[in-house]
Amino acid sequence: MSVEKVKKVVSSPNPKFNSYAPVLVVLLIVASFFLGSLWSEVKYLRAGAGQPVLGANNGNDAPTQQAPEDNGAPVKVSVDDDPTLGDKKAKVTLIEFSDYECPFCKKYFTDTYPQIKKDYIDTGKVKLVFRDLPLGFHQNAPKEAEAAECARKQGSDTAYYKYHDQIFTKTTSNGTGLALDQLPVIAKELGLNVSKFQQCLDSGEYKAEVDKDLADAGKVGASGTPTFFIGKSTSNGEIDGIKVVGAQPYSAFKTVIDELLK
Amino acid sequence: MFFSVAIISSLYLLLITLLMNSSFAINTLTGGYGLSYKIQILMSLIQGMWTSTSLSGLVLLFLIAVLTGANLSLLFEKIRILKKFDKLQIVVGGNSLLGIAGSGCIACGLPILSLLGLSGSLVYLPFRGAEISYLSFAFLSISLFVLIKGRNKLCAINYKNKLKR
Repeated sequence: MSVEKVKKVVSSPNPKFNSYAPVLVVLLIVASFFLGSLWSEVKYLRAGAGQPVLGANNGNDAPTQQAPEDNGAPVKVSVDDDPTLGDKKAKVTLIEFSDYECPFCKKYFTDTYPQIKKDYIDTGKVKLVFRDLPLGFHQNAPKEAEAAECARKQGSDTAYYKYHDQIFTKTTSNGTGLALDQLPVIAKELGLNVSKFQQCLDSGEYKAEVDKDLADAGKVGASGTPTFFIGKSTSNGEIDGIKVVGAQPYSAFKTVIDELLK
Repeated sequence: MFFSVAIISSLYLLLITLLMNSSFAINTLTGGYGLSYKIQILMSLIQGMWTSTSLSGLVLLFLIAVLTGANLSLLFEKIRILKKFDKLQIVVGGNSLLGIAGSGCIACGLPILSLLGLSGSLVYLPFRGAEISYLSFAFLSISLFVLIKGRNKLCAINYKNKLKR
């Protein structure tokens, strides 16, 4: 028996299939991806929701600034004119890009935020700045963000954060977890002027503000929620922020904040 | 065998965890911080794997990690055997890469796809990228089946053909 023949029998019983198999697999994956994309795009177009793009310019003619590379370097992030919780002169700033209908943002709100608030915000060591990043597939999130801004209009940052707490408490965070007709109800519970609130909400007065936060999120590389930027506070409100993504445990925030407080 | 599967699976999970927060991980590892800071952050990120992923995502991630470990272990063994026959056919799925691509939650940390700048494309998928993990699981399972099936293959003597001596 020749050795070459033995080798031939043992190896590759179907050489043609083995050659094409990787190609077929790759083609199948690519086809599935585009099929799924097409299906979703049709769904969105039928719903009239337009193009769900994260960090979109939303009609702004200015060219989109390219997001910084994820190379570990701190990112320059501005607090803009967004609501602040805690001492405005706090040494450390925690900027949170969040979505009211994101389940992981709610998880952070429930599990981690209370501890950070108690240990660092209430003690004047850290100030929190909440910026909106409503994701395109969370239908009610943009309007909830606007509603919180409308609450702020009446009662400043204090009212904003009370409203923010109520949204996260009441929503089930599944895109439409809080019905939009509940937004004025929350305003009433907090003692705000409901008719002014409703007028503000219906007019879309703060849509541009929410859209601006969305665009800024894209510029600083916040592509999902929640995304945090933690850095030393500056006089112009622009921090060199360490980017932390996701509902990370309290220990992660504590370690970073304690290091910055040194 | 089980030891190598465990090692590879653990490394895979660690890689996923760090990829989910690549910027933070790089900043921690390369920054001028003390050793205790770095260890605390890495431990927190590993703990964060549980808090920043859904239950289904976590289960899928672990399954993909185990399948990756099993696949790679069997693959290395097969390579070692095939080398002896001077015929090396490697079909290394991007299956594990698919698992990396889809693991985790799109909205809370995008692993390799964000590094490739493709994170936005997942918005169009019905399950926001989770499909990729399921595909990965399926392909890894098929791959494992093929590797196991071929593992105990005997040298077959084909009596139908006349073999030259």
